[in-house]
This record gives sequence, C-alpha cells and structure tokens, in this order.
Amino acid sequence: MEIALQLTNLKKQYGLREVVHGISLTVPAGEIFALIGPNGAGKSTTLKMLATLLKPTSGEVNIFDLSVVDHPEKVREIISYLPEEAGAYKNMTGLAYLTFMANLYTANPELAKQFIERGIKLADLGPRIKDKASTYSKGMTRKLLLARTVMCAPKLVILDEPTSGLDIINAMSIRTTIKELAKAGLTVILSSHNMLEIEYLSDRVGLISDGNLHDVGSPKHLKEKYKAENLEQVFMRATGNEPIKEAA
Amino acid sequence: MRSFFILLQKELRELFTWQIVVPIVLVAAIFLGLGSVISSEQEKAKGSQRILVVDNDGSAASATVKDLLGKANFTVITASDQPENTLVEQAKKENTSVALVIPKGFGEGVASNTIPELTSYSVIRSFSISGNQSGLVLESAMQAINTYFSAQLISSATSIRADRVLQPVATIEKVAVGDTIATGKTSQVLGYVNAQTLYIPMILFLVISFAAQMIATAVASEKENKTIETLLTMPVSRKQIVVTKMLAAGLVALIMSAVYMVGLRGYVGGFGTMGESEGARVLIEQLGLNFTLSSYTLLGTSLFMGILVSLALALILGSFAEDVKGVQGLITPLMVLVLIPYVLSFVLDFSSLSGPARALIYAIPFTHSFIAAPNLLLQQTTPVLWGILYQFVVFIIFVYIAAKIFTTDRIVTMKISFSKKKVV
Repeated sequence: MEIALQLTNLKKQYGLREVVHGISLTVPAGEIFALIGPNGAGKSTTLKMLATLLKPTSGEVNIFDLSVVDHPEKVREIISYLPEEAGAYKNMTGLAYLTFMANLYTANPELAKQFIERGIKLADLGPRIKDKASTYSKGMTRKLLLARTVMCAPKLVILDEPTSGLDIINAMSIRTTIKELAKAGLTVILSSHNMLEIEYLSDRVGLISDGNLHDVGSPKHLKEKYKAENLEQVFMRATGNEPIKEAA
Repeated sequence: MRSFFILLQKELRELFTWQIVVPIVLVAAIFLGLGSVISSEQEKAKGSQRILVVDNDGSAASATVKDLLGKANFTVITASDQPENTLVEQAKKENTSVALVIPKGFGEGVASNTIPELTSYSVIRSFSISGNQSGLVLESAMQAINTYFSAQLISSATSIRADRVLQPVATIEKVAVGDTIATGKTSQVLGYVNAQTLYIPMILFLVISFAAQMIATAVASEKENKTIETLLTMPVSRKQIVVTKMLAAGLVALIMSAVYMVGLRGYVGGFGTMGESEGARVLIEQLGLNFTLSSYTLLGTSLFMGILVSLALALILGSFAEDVKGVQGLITPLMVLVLIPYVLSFVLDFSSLSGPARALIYAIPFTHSFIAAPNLLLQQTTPVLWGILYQFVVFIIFVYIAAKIFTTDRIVTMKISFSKKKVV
C-alpha cells in the first residue's frame, strides 16, 4: 500500500498560542480522507501545512515520501490545494484562468492543452467559460476553482470546505466530481462542517477539535464504536461533549 | 523560465487595466493641456498691453510720458478727466487693468524744483502672475520714466554725464561652476537650469507614488480576492512570484515615466522661454551645464533605482494589507519618505546642511534620485555614483525582506487592518 500522506506529531504555533497539538495520521493513496470539526478546530491550519502555505512548528508532514518542510517546491508539483475562501482573477475569463494555471503546471503545450480541456469539462460552465470570472456566481466560481484544482492530475488534492456556501445543486455537482476523481485513483484530503457530505464522500474521517485529533476511522466504524446514528453524534461523543449511550 | 514569463504576463495583464491606464494618460494630457494654456497666456502677456491715460497737462513732458509708455509696449488709450472710481470702471470696460493720471502742472513741475506726481492704478482681478502682467510692466515703465527725467535734469543742471550719475559703478558679473568661469548672472543660470530640470522631480514624485500604490494594491488585491493562497501553492518558485510582481510594476512605471515626461515637459515648456534667452544659452554652453549622454544614463539609472526601491518597499508594505482599502494607510510612510526630499530639494542645498540633518536626508534613498540632475549638471558625478550604489544596497535589502515574507508563513498570516479589528 502506497502512503500518500504521513503526519507525525504535527504541531503549529501562532506566537505563543499552539493551535495544532501533535497530530499523527497516515492516509493511503487513493483514499478520500476528511477532517471534521468545528470552526477554530485546526482543520484549515492543518490543511495549509499540507499545502506548504504554513510551516509546521514541529513534527513532520510527508506527501508521497516528500517532506513539505525540506522540499516544498517538489511537493507543490504533486499536490493541488483549494482554499476555503478562494477566488479567481477577476480580469481573467474562466478559460484564461484555466490556461494560466495549466501553463504553470507544465511546460509541455500538448499536456497543458489536455489539462485545459479537462478543466473546461470539469467546470461545466458551457459558453460562460469565456466570460470574465468577475461575472460568475459563487457556485460557478467554486466549480471553476475545483476544476483548476484537479485538472492537472495532481497525486494529492487538498480541499478546504469544497462546498461551503453553495446551493444544493452546485454542492451535489462538486461532490459527484470529487467521488469520480477518487475512483480514478486520486487521493483527496478535505475538510468540512457538513457531516452528511463527509459521510457520503469519505472513506475515512478524522475528528479534530481544539487542535487535537480525537479519533480516525471509516464513518461506519466510528458510528459503531460510538454507538451513534450519525457522524454528528460520533463527533460529540468522541470529543467528550456527549456521553456514549449503551444499547437498551 | 517559462513559468517566469507566464507569471510576468499575468502581472502585466493585472496592471494594464483601464483603471490604471486612463488616469496616467489623463494626468499627462492635463499637464500637456495646461502647458499649452499657460504658453498662450504668456504669449498674450508678452504682446501689447493697453493703458488708460488721463492727460490733464497736455505738455511736452506729458507727451514724453506717453511716448515712454509706448516704448514699454503699452497701447495708450486716452481718457477724460474723471473721479478715480469711474476711471477704474472705464479701465475694466476697456478691458485693461492699468491706468495713469498725469496731473495739471506736471510739465512745470518737472522743469521747476518740485517733485511732480503721476498716479497709477492697477486693477487686481486675480493673484496670478499672468493676470497682473500689465501692473508689473507698468511698475518697470514708471522706473524708466523716472530714469529718463533724471537724465534730463542731470544734463540740464550739470556737465557730468547723466549715465555716470545714474550708474556710477559698472559691475561685471561672473559665475563659476567647477573650474569654469564665465560672464553672466546667477539668476540667468538658475532660470535656465530650472527650466531644463524642473519637471524631473515632478515626474519622479508622480511615478514613485503611482508605482508604489500599484504594486501594494496588486498584493493587497491578491489577498482580498483570495487568489494569493492558490498562487503560493502552485509549482513555481516564490522568488519568481516576487520578482515578476516587481518587474511588471517596474515596466509599467517606466512607461508611466515616458508618458509623464511628455506631459510635464509640455507643462514646464508652457512657462515659455523663462530663463532661456540667447545670453543664458551661451552662458550655459560656456559653463558646460548641459546633460551629456553619460550624465543622461546616470540620471536615468538613479531615477530607476529610486523607483525600484519604492517598489520593493511598497511590496513589503502591501504584504501587510488585508484588502485594497488598507493599502493607502500602509504606504503613507513611503509617501512621506518621498515627499521629504521632493519638497526640500526645491529650497535646500543638502550638501550645506549640518552633519546629522545631512545624514538623515541622505539616508532616505529617494533623496539621491532628486539630487541627481543638479549634481550631474554641476559635473559632480561621484556623489551620484555613491547615491546609486546606496540605492542598490537598500533595494537588495528590501527585496531580500520581501522574498523572506513570500517564502515564509508571513505572507499568509501577517496583516494590519485599518478598518474593524478582527481576531484571526
């Protein structure tokens, strides 16, 4: 089994305040792994460390055996990151944006063309792909950005709240895309508040709260372990906010 | 290298928007237009001025006064005797701003041992030089009238040459620049040099201000539009991101300089041949106060280094901005650093300042760009070269800091908000 992501005692401090307290985790290649937790739990900070945006205070992050601290530029060649609040360049059309990003990923014009074609297809914006990004709705922008994130066939995709703030139709469309990409072998690390979404998408989830990783497992396994009906209950019980009820 | 050009192209595309291009062209066009308006006003002022003259004497002396006014380029309009209020009203109606009253007995007064009086009126409609040109010319015409009658009196009363009494000592004025000495006046040199170089600090100030604003806004808008995090996780070197941002802003600044050069040269040129008389031109030639190819090159280098320093500093300051609105407040320290040498270079000779004051002003890297033109005209190349070297060192330090910010967490985490304080 190839290891896509290995976190070892990962810590992050902002000044004197530690926001991630020694997370350790292994994600095999081809898995959809989700981090769930409330606002301020440390999900985004952890994902930003994976994406080489933030440097860990201590501990290790290895992506396909490459350390994000020692080889950030090499790591960036095999990952793709979609921030929670991302935007596209307003003066560019959707197509120009995809073209710009594809050309940064590869110097091969043929390959860039393939990436762009894939991006257009994934964004599914029809003729609006030739309009300026400033004219797009939030859902259209998010679809464009997701297309940009995955079009260049990265080995690991990091998605921070991929469907945050989207309507049901756009959110569903994005979830379907993620699921299909994972079937094709892509490793996905995502975070979300939406427990239903996580249950639908993820192979395994990590429960994170106050910078601590409380438990890791498949949704099914965790529900059984915490005798819960859904992941919300799992989270509450795993983090000690609700007692585990014994079956009657 | 390919990604470098792709990033550069993207940065240029972000900067060359209508919002950037239109103000640059507009400002240059406004200055050019102002230049042509000023020029035509100057030409008008140089032309014949109209003066209302009330001659209550009708003597030979009063005729001489009118004749002397004619020689001073006045067209004399004769008016009847009237109270001064109506005289001023008539002057306004006649579209002239000066009037002169020659009283009865003026001629006799000149001939006898009394001091006759001429009363002049200047209607002030504005406080501009061109609007009050007639009044200024009348002042010198009155001096000429006095000189004429002085000469007449001296000639009739004594055997001494009138011109000797009026100017008993002749002065030969010489100016020295470096080792070269030439006959001429300091005011001639200053007038000519100012006419040639006045627009340089103006351009520098405008370009530095605009370029700094541009690059700081470019970084802030990446943050505001939430594009920076994506860009920073792309497989391109962070240093490339910094360099392409600066290079794009530098290229735009160069184009801006050229456009402003045309506009401001036209504006300053609008002040006409102020100080550019033939005599002044010969004097300047003799003193060697002209730009050579090498001095133009050094001047260009110093100006460009000033722009680069401002870009690097603005890039650092822009990194603190949370959004575009915060940029103005953040680049204020930079604007103050540009404003100090800009304003002081018009009134002070920095080399004659006291030690600490001089050290302080020379520590501002932009000072060297503002003083490069006068130093080069005075053939003082060494301080210009030191200035360029100092600017280069400061530039490297700022670029290093900017690169450090972009290659660490700081570009994502540091922010100063001028609006509502947020807990991050």
